[in-house]
Amino acid sequence: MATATAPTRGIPKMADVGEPDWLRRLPTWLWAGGLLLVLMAISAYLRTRFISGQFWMDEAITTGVSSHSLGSIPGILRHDGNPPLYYMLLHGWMTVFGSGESATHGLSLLFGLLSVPVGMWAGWSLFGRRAGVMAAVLFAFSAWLTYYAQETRMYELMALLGIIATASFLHGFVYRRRGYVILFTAALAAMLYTHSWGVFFYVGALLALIPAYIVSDDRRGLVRDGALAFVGAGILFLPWLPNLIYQADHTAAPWSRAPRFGTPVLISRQVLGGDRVTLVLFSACVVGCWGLFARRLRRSPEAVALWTLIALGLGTLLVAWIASQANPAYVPRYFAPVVASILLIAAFGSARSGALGILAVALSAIFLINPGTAAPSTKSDMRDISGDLSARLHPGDLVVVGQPEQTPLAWYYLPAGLRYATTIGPVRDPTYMDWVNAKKRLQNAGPASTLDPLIASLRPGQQLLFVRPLTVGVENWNEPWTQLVRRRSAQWGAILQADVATGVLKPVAVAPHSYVQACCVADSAVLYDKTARHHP
Amino acid sequence: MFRYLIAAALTALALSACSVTANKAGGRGRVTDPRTQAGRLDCLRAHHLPVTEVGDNGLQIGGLPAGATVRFTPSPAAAQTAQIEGQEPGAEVIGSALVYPNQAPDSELGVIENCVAQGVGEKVF
Repeated sequence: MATATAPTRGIPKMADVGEPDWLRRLPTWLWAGGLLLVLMAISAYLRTRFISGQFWMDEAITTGVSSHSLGSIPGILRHDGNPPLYYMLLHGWMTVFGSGESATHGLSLLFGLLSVPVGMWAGWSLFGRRAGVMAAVLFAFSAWLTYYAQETRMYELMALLGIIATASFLHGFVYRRRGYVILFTAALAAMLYTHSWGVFFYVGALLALIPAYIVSDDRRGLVRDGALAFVGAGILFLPWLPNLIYQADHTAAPWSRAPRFGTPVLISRQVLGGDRVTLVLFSACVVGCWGLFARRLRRSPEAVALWTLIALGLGTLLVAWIASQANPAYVPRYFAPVVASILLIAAFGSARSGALGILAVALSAIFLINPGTAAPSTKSDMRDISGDLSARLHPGDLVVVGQPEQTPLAWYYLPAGLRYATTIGPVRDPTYMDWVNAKKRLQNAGPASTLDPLIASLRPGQQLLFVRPLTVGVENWNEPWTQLVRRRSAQWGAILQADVATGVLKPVAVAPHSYVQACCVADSAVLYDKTARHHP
Repeated sequence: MFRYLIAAALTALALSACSVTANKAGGRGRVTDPRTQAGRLDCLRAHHLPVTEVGDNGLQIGGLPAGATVRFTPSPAAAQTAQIEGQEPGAEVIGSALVYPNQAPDSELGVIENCVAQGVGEKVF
């Protein structure tokens, strides 16, 4: 479908820049393919600046879970809170490429790079060639995609599936190209199996049917196709539904807080990459889309497509926001399903706003060309701690982690053969975090009654490594769970200090000896020797 | 000519007046007390906690050994350094503050932590 560029009453026709003659003479496949290659190469450059960076805890948990056999991954995830698709894909990927940071980031990078051609297809097939090109640029430079292309998590896959689902939704339900309904069903089911926000997208997509329904000449057919798609995806998801219900009941993210009204700021800074990017794209969209609000165009396919995109994005966010009031899970990294609708709106609006749109997309790319603006160079310091202390550790030594969910991170970087415990108690399997009733268990775990038996279990000469989070800033530490983690770490530290005073333990090393500022959650560690003296 | 004389006289008067009203240099120093900064002490008192100021930079909430102790270091970096170097294992680090929970109950500690966190940058490091 060609982009509608006719001026609407009251809106002057925008100044525009046409493509040069030499480009017009080239076959489409040649220049489009060439452009894609260039964009993907630039994107690959941007998305690999920190690809070998050390994991933070979420990535270590993901790698730890994926290191189990395919058959046992779903069972482990009951304790974690996510569906299994990405973990299973990562399991296969690690079998081939290994479990190092660069190797596992590589899978996310692959999804991030694929989002460029898929984004181009979405924009081109829905709104015309110019929108396709602009979508490709926006997806290639997207700050959100650049960030999570270097993160061993499912977000990049979720965003890629989001593009496919969003585009096929519009094709199938707005433009009534019915073959796409099947693609939408498959993409929706895959999203449900990739991240819990797939459920919010599911409801958001149901809400997004409303604009198409209002203008449809074939409402019965639309409802029939909608029922087939949503019921079909639901049936495909049925096998995982009991796990989802169990997870929702027992593993709600206790580290998160109910969201308030900062979503526009989150979208501007975390998804689009900064206020200046938002400003230029928003300006182009307002100019480009304003005409669609005129009465004579209000029911046009372009207008309905725009409203559908808005409804899909806003509906998903609104449902997630409401659900998160009771069960908080509302952080920008979860916004993967709406990245497609936001960037496709930007591409659509920019394509309709002539030279201003070209300028807006070009400026966005320039603003995002510095990879440091989109991704952190250092996410944690556990690799440094391990580098400092690994040579001193021996099999059978005890690692006590003040923040329980950082145990897989310690496991990932520290040598094999160590025993693990957290402020909740001994840990049987350090490769994943057991979130089941975690807050209650941490509240009930008395520091002395939990730690004293652990110290008593050490033979003289064995060591205890106490790893605790750096909590100087308040951003990550003002939720009930994280407050308790910070407090318990200090309470455990006080007990260890008392054991040093009585001669039961002797501090022998601290780490990191050189702390490089970490974006997310960093740690410090003290290594203690157990002496021959008994606990008083 | 007369106008110039008047203007010169007024200018001289204005300049001399400036020198008369100028403050003396120095003597303006004032300590920024981290305990009262951002309403931290007021917050603790508003929650009816038995808080007393200790020395130049400390707070004691309730009596020792059970009650929590707060000590403010010169900067958040100093507090973080103390933790990294293993000097203060029994303290929570919140901004520039070291909060020693001691045996205070969780409910009271939550209030203390929130009050101490007032005014701490969202992302210090």
